Amino acid sequence: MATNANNVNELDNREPADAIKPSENGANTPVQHITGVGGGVTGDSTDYIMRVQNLKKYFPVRGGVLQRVVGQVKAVDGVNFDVRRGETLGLVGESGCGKTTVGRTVLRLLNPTGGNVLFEGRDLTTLNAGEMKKTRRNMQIIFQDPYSSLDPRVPIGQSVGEGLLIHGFSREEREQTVRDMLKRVGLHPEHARRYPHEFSGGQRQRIGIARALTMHPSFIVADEPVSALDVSIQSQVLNILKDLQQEFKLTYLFIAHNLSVVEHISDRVGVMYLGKMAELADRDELFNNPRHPYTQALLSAIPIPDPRIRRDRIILKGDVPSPLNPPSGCRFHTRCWLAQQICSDQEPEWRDIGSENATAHPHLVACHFAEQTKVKGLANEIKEQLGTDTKV
Amino acid sequence: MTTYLIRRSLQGVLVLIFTSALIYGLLNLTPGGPIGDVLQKPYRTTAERNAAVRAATIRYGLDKDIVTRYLFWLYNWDPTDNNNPVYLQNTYDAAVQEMTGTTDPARKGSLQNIISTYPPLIASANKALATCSNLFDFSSLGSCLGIPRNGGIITGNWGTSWKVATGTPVLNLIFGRGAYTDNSSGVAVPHPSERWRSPLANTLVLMSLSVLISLLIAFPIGVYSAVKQYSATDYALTLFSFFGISMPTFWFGLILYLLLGIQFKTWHDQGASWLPYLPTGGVVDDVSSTAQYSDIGIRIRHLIMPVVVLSLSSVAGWSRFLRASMLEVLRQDYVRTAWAKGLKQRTVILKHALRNALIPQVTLIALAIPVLFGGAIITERIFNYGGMGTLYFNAVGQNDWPLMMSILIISSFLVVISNIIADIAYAIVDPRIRYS
Amino acid sequence: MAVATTLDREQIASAKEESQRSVIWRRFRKHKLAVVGLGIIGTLTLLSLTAQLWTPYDPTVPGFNSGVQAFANPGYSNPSNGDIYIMGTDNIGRDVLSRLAYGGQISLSVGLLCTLLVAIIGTIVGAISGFFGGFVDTVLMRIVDLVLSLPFLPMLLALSIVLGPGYWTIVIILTAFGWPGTSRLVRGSVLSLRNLDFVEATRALGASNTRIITRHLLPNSLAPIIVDATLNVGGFIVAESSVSFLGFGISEPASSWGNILAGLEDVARQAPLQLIWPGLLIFLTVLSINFIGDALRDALDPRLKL
Repeated sequence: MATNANNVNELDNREPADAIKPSENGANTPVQHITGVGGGVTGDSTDYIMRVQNLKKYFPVRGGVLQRVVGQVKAVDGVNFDVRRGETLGLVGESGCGKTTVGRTVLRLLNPTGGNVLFEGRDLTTLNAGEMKKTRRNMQIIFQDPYSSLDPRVPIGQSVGEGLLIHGFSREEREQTVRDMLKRVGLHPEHARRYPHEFSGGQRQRIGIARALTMHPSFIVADEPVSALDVSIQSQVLNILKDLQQEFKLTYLFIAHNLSVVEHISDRVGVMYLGKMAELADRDELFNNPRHPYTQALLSAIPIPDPRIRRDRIILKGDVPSPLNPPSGCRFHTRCWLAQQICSDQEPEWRDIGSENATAHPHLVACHFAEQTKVKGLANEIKEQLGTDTKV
Repeated sequence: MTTYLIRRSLQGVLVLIFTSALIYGLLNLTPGGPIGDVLQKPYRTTAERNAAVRAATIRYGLDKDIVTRYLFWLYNWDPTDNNNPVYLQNTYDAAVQEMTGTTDPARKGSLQNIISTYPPLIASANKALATCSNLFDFSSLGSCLGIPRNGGIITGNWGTSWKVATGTPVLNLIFGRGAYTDNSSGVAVPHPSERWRSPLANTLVLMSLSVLISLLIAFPIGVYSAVKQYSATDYALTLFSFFGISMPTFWFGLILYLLLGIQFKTWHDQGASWLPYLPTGGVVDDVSSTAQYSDIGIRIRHLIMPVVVLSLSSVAGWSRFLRASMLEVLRQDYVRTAWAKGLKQRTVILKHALRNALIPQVTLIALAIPVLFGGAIITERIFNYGGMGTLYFNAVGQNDWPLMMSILIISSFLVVISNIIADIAYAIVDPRIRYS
Repeated sequence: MAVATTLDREQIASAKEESQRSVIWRRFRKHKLAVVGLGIIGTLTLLSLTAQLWTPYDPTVPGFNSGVQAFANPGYSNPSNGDIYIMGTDNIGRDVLSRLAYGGQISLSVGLLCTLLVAIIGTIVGAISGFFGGFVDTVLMRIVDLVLSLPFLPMLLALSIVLGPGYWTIVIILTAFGWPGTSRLVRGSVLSLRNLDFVEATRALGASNTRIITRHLLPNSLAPIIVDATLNVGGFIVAESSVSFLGFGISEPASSWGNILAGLEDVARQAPLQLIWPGLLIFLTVLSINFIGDALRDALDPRLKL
């Protein structure tokens, strides 16, 4: 590998699941096939890279004289979704809705309070430290803040190559890969010896991407990777991410709060509200035919850069309730204009209501009245006005 | 806030219990322990020595394990209480032990007296003890033993001094009340209050004056340095504070003592009668004069040098700290806004900047109290000032356990209290802090 | 494309480190007083270390007694045998210059040794506490609280009696009281760093806790640790000399700057100027250290660009 200057391409071509073949892991865990509510999809043969089932992450809150646990912040409270191999799954929601926690928990950077995360068929929550370390090669993360995501005391070459060092690659391999990767994200290989403060925000973000890619992972959580960047640099980084996805056959879980960015990059989009998944569908389906009132409100809030156009916006009343003590039933009922008694009594089922387009993936939504919420042409209207019908 | 206060106080109590246990345990590691001087006394025969050692061991409960001894000290410590069956039994055992090795007829007689008179006393005291179901029940033990006022340090019985003033209750020494015999001179001191006038009060006066003076000097220095940052005065004041921080207290004290106390007096006596000089030690000029203790002028003259010595490092440290926090605050937008509004310099600096710069200072001052207490030991030692420092210094030097333990507990208490005060004061002055 | 140079990570790292060091040194040099302080500390250390070579008299043996008094003023020349005492002798006739030189070995080494031990223990405890949090953190920090709520100087005196006064006693006691402060500092630093993205990133790469702590958290906490350690040296020297001055530290006949001062105090009325020497040495040493610490704080300030 070290002698081959083009080894990046060579490495690309291997199967993404390569590194965690049972033989390599030493454990012969049978691939679990869990169907049903998990993804709301039954009996299909789609290639899933990750299935998240009833994922929960609570953070304890202490108080009182004895500092007992007096409550739980339910950051993520029973989330289900699948990630198909090679796709980009966008995850949107207001800040504090738990989307970042989902990103960290599916990588087991945080240990889930409950639920399962199946990655390449194996339940991450049951892996021991050694198995987890091996698995980490296949799943990486890109961070929001390009300033805190690189160790200021370590030259960037070392940061980028650290994963290879941890996983026992030789120095030659490391140097070669680091160089190729830096080149791949548009930096000079000679920059390897420089320190993070010598780079701009966009450059740092690309260094972060290079670091995530050196181990040739198959799955990457991109946690708001462009939110902290200047608008002028955002598209540059997004394009790099897209190019790399094709080149390395990557799967992205793309977390963002900016709907335009998500629309630009995602194949499917999930909407989260207060630790729960509200709606998940193909991008076009979701933008054209949003069924969850919350999704509709979000979409109607996309700003239109044309003062002449008047559009009815859905203005949500009140504030986001505290995740410490979330509302009963449907979490959105306190702010929903369609809410009825059942919404506060009963938690809506996470169900497939079918796409408009028959060939599309399931349209999952958690709303009692999903069938009656069709807003004809809302998204189309927005799109026409925005002119953002961006095709990938 | 109330919840926080309760929790903080409970923590404080817990810390005090642990600290006292730790201190007690550490002091018990001493070779020879409290009977060090019993071991060192000359004896005619080995048997006599063994008997005396054995007697002292039993008397001070050293044959018990450390936990029992600690609990005994904590809530049932009084080796001289006749209602305390443990003490009576110990005394009796010790007498029996000593009897075998004693040749001195007079001593034999007094031992014989104990051996014959104690059994009924022990029996009745034990009978009282038998009604106490639980020895570790603090609340009921005192009353069921019939020794409500002698229930160890938690009920206010801090024991009696062993060496500094043998037999005098420690609290009397600390609060300067009651009569006692000064062991170092062998003189019976009938009215110790005239001599000591409460070491605790003396030290508190010294410390409070020191804090006051430090604040009065440090604050203007800090504010001025910050406002005139990088001016020549600022550099000079910064240099001064570096000198102050680096100056060893004892050396500074000695120099002052030699210069203002001795050299000035020499020059004064040699003819420079205009030259004032300061007293070199003590709380008053003449310890036998009761009147001097209430003479503020005399007391102040004796306080000048100790207060200056004790204040030096806090003046230096606090002014530097205030300078830093003032600089921080002066950079804030709201101060710039105040300038922009056209407010007077005085208003901006004192009302907008200083108020906020003082917030962290509050904690610093509260936390300095235990440090000052430590500094008081050195200062009082140099100026022979009759305070807690001198008392502690004597106690450590003479291995006077009850006194040492008591003063250590008091200073631990001081540390814990000042920590709590620091936190609370911080919450009061800084409206942003919300404890729950 | 021509990738001519082979990347030698080690080489580059060391080259970079070198330049980082030179940047720090350049910023340090701006503080003239700190540079002077460094010179003073260096000279005193050198003179102390070589005391065996140049001191004129045995520091522990009383060499002078006129019959009337044992102490001699500075510059005294004994007419009977021609012995000259440049700085005079102490209360029992020992050469003050020699005692100061030997005392420097003890005072300086106590300061350095305690600082080293405190830095090691404090860093380990602080890093573990801050990184792992939870129960471990609670237990360790309660211990820290406990030690910090012991009254420092009174306990120092009491423990010195308990353990028997001497060099190692002082080192042990000062270390025992010193580490909690450093561990709080390190814990705070680790706490502020451990949730930063670069630590998460390293964890996501599969790094072990040990690697995260030693390669990322501690190097980033180094600046405050170094400054704290520097200032500790002065603190320990003052603490040791205070205790020795009070008679509970380094015990006779060995000398430390503190107990020399105590010995000279006895003859203060006859030879007051003698008292200058030991105190001046302590003062100069601590002052220099404080200047150095202050300069290091500026030079290592992470907010400034390297």
